[in-house]
Amino acid sequence: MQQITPYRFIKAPARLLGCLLLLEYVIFIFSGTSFSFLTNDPFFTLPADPAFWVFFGTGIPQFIISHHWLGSMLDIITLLLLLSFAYNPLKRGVALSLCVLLFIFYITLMGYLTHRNFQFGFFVVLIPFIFKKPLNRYLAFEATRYFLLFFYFSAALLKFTNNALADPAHFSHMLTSQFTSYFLEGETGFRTDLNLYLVNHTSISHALYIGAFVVELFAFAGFFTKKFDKLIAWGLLLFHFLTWLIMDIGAVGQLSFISMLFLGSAFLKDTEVADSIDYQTNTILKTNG
Amino acid sequence: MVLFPYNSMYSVDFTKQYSASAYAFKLNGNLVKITKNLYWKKDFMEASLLSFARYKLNNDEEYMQRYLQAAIPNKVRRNFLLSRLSPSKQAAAAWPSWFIQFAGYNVNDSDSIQLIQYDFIFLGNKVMLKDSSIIELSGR
Repeated sequence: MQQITPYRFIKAPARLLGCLLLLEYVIFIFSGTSFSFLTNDPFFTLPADPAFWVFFGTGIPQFIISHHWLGSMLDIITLLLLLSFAYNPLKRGVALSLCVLLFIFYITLMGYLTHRNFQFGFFVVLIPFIFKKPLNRYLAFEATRYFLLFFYFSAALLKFTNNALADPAHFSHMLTSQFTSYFLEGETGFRTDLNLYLVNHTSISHALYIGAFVVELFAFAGFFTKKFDKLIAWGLLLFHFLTWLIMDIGAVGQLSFISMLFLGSAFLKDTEVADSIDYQTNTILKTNG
Repeated sequence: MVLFPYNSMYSVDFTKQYSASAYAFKLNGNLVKITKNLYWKKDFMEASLLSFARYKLNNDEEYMQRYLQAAIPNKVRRNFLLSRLSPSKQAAAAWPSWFIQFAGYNVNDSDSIQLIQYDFIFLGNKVMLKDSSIIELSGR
């Protein structure tokens, strides 16, 4: 008889998720924006966000940035933990340490980036894995999933409430500021040509903007059913690829977060298996008095 | 809030114009280039340069300084928070050199550094430089 064990469904897909997360951090390092590369950056500005105030108030990001050895050490520790997470994503100590480290990295990077960047997915994705019991992990996955869905749905909602869809030139105006550094430096090519074309053809850019709105709005369907999760994930990945192509916004930090939508059934199956094992164990214990 | 999934990106058209601005440093008269860097570094440099230029254009004040001055009447408490939550003037003065070195250039004390605002206008299938102006860098 085949033995049924918990975690058998989630482990392999979660490993893939871990590899994707590792890749995201490697991209930070290769780009030259991880902890160690920002050493001695003297200028930061914070957004209206108490999460940033608490960390910068305690001086943690400033301390890390002013010590190269510490930044390098944190980069190495993060990489080792990511490797460990990719090998065994069910070690909650590793997931918890990584979640805290990547959260601090996010706060530090955004403070010194001096811009409220929305790519927080690379630490939020770890939240379900900091729980040990399959049921708790599943519930945390559910909460994280709703967080993701609301994040994209709110983008559609605000486009609607700010009346952005009614103005055909809205997106063309937005696109004018996306590639100015490239034009200034003379680094032109396919994407800058496409940018100029879309700035000049408002009907096409408006159609793309409405397309983006529809993809973001579709996330709302996820509040009622999980049937479309994979479709929502593919839609969002395509959306981010196009925002890189058209707007030069590379959503590297969101890839593993969105990919989590592919893991819903694996989390659920694990929980069901764990529940049935708990039920059988309890039944045996009761039978044996 | 970093932990609240509120995303208003590109829902408000602030300019309603076919024009845009870009900022760049010049080191000894030569443009400091940033776009050849990989995505995150290019994004980091572009966004932080924009913030720094706005800081200089707002008489060396950034958002938190204005916010704390308006929100905290107690001078001692406000100065403590200012020292923690906003960059000092000396730190801001050192930033252009740090940025240019981060971009991969060598900077000596005798080098001249300028921060320039470039204004572009989009006409037909062309983008044209309409104007450029030097933003004052004090305290270097």
